[in-house]
Amino acid sequence: MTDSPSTHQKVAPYRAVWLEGLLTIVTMGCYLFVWFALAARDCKRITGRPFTPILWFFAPVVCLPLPFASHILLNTFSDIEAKRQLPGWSKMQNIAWNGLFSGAYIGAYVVAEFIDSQTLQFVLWAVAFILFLLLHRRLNRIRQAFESEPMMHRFAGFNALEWVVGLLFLALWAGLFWALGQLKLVNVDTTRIEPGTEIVVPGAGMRFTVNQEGWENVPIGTVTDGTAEYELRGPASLNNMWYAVFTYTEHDDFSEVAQNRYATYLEVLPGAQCSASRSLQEGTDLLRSVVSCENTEAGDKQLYISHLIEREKGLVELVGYMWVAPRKYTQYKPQFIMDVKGLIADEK
Amino acid sequence: MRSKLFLIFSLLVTLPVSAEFLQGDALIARAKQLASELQPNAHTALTGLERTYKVAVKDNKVTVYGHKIWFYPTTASVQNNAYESIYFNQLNEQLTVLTAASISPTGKVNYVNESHQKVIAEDTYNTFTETEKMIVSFPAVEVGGVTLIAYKIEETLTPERPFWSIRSYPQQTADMLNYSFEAQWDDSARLYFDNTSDLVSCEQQPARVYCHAVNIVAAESDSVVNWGDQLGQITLSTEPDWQAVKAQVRPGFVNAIENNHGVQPLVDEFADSADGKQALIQRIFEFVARDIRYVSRSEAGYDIVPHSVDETIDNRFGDCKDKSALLIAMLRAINIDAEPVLVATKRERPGMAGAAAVGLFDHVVVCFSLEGQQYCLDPTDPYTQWQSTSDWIQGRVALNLSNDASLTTIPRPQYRWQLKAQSDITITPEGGQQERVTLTFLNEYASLMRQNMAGLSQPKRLEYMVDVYHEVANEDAEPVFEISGVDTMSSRLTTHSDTSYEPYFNPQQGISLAENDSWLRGELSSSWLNNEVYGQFYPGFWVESEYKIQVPHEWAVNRFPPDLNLEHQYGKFTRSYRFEEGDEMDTLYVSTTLSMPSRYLAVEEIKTFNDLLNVFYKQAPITFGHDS
Repeated sequence: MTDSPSTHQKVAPYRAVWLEGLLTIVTMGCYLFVWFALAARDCKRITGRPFTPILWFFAPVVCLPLPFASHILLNTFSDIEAKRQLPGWSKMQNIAWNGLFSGAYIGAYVVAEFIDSQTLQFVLWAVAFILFLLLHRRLNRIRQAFESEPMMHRFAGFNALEWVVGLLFLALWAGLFWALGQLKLVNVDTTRIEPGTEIVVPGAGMRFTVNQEGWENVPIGTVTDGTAEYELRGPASLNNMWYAVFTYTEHDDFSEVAQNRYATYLEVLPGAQCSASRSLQEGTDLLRSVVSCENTEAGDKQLYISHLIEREKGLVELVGYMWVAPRKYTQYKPQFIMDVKGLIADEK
Repeated sequence: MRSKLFLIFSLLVTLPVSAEFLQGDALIARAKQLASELQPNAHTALTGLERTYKVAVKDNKVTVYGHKIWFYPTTASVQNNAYESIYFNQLNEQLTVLTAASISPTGKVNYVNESHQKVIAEDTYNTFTETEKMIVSFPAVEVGGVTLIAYKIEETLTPERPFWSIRSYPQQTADMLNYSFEAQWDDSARLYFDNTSDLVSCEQQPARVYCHAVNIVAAESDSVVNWGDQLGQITLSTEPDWQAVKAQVRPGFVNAIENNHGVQPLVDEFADSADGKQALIQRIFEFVARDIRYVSRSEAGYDIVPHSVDETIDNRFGDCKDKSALLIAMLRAINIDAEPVLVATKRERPGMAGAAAVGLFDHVVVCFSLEGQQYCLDPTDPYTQWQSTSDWIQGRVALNLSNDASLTTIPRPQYRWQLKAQSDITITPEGGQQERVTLTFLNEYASLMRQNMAGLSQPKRLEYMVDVYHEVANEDAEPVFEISGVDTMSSRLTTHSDTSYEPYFNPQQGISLAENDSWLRGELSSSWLNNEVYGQFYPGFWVESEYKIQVPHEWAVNRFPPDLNLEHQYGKFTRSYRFEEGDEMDTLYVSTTLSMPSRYLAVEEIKTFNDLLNVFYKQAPITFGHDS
């Protein structure tokens, strides 16, 4: 099949690389999806090949088809460059670009999901972004070889829709940074906790050891309704993960509190699988209870665990909660539970 | 002559104080004098002003003189204590009340006459002592008055009965201002002395001993006390050691067992119908315990000597000595080396037994080893299977007559009370309940329940179990019982009960149920110890509870009883569950085991022990339901 250039339809006009990069950054990468769709549209208009631009929108969204889509796009660019005798990339350059871009792009998702390294994730996004800018520079060259006309009139490099979307995103950014700023103001007491740190809560008369990374203590009310004596939040990269310490008076009945936990967890975790056990604290007639319930909701795993300890006067409880993706659940759960079970009560 | 003078002089120097036994007017004068010396309002409860014992042994005749003077400061002390009990053995001893009277606060003397005295038997079932108790009720006792009594008990030592002993407890449950104990003996009977009380000071000479104390504070009372094990005591006995005690008692058993012509035919007859040695032991024991009825037979000459085995077989009755001799003869006939063992049924601490004395013991049982296991059988117990030990002899001070061992105790099982409870419950969709409970009482517990029901008619037995059910499980229910194992001597007694409960909750308002595990809780609540002053032995119990609870599938039960693993030095409480879903009914299986081993608990341990029982009691309910 031969391409039959059809130049009756105009392509998108040239836009400086930095403007394109700015738009991508402002829209948190969402513009990339539009970029792929527009690139496919222009290729269709130039070559007459049966591209379906809307499908290209989803190539970077779905992620996995990206290498194949990029391959087709790069080959089309090369064909156009060859026909119009434009300077272009060699076949090896196409392969290298595709490998690096797709690898960095997909790799960033994998790291976010499975490896939990924000630095590596940032590096990969940066590599993909730079490669994207290089490709846009190449597309600019192609578009300049054809008659171009913007779909909408541009003001200072962006059309009205882009301005609106960009400004909306900017407002979103501003709001987000403001919220983070507020949060930072609130969380002035937040302290990172090194793995292996024994947390001593003298006011509650208890201690336990946190053995996982990424924990920090947070002000009371951050993860509970404010009734806790002490709160810890888990790694920020996870959806939700926290520990909270509660105390009860000598008028609170041990069995009642333990059973209420069990009932509450069943209520908040639909279809949960639970286990409950009670034992005596060594060398005493004081009880301890461990209740844990877990379920799967919207593909993520949730776990509540309560370790309740009876003292001569009153009770103390360490509650742990995690709501994370299944693979992370498997990764974090064992130590998460062991840390909760490691609760030791001291007399207040 | 000079040596006699020296001896008299020595006695005068070393023992300037002696117990002065008083009677008649001298005793009354003494009582008045002691009463007049009392500080006003210094005593608010019954107070002993003087208690004196004087023992004299001369030419094989033992005479115990005693006098007691009591002061009554309150109405309660008059109401509860204005009498005196004097114990003696009517077969060998003669009691004479020399003086007995009350003195009013104004000094009026009211003498006791014969109508104020009565003698009653003190014997209890199973024991072989022929103790009598004379009760003297003092007339005209008033608040602020005193009573006094002087008496003597005489006994002559004979070649057939050459032993004698006395035991005195200086501390009693009332304050005692003056206490003295004196004994003198001649060459006709050497006496051996022992004192375990640190409240008295004693001085001992070759043929004389004198102990005295002043202002002895009353011993504190408690819920369960074996006074003989708790209070220090003075013992005087003709026996130098426990081997001598054995030498006094053993020949009687040897002679009784030797006359055993009737044994072999019986054993042969039983062997024909018994399958194996253990079954044969069971059959023999059942014969002696059930077919030979208990009759107290401690007449003269037989207070520690059993009648011959043949005589017991012919009579088909006998006391513990006779039955033990017969059981020994029959067990020996099947090559089991059984031996008689004396038992002190009111004693658990060999260290507090005092001087060796035949009089310490009031019972005899039969012990032997079989396949490395020690068994002690009480042939007066028609309810306990031979491999269990009658509860009233467990842990009691004992003396095996056939070996060189000193005092020991009858072995105790780890758990005296053992119960298996199996509950099959179906909860109806309307919230009612059908329940079938099978209770299996094991070993000593089977024996106890058998003892409680053996004398009852079948309807009364069923009523008895319904009462037990009402007390333990639910007082409003009307269970229908079946009972088996009452009329045998097996190790198990089993009951079945069927009970229907009308709807007692509305399932529409939520499913949250708690099954009390009542039979387990019942054992826990009966185990509380109440002593506050003295340590106490806890006999131990073991309960295995199995629940099968069926609930409508539509209730979607999702909250289950917590697993329990409550382990403590005093006991262990474990529970686990299994849940099976069905088409119409789901089934919750709950297995619980509670074990509280027997042990001695010092008084300072009792609160901790009770606290643990309380924890176990609170954790006993089986909770389950549906939450969403």
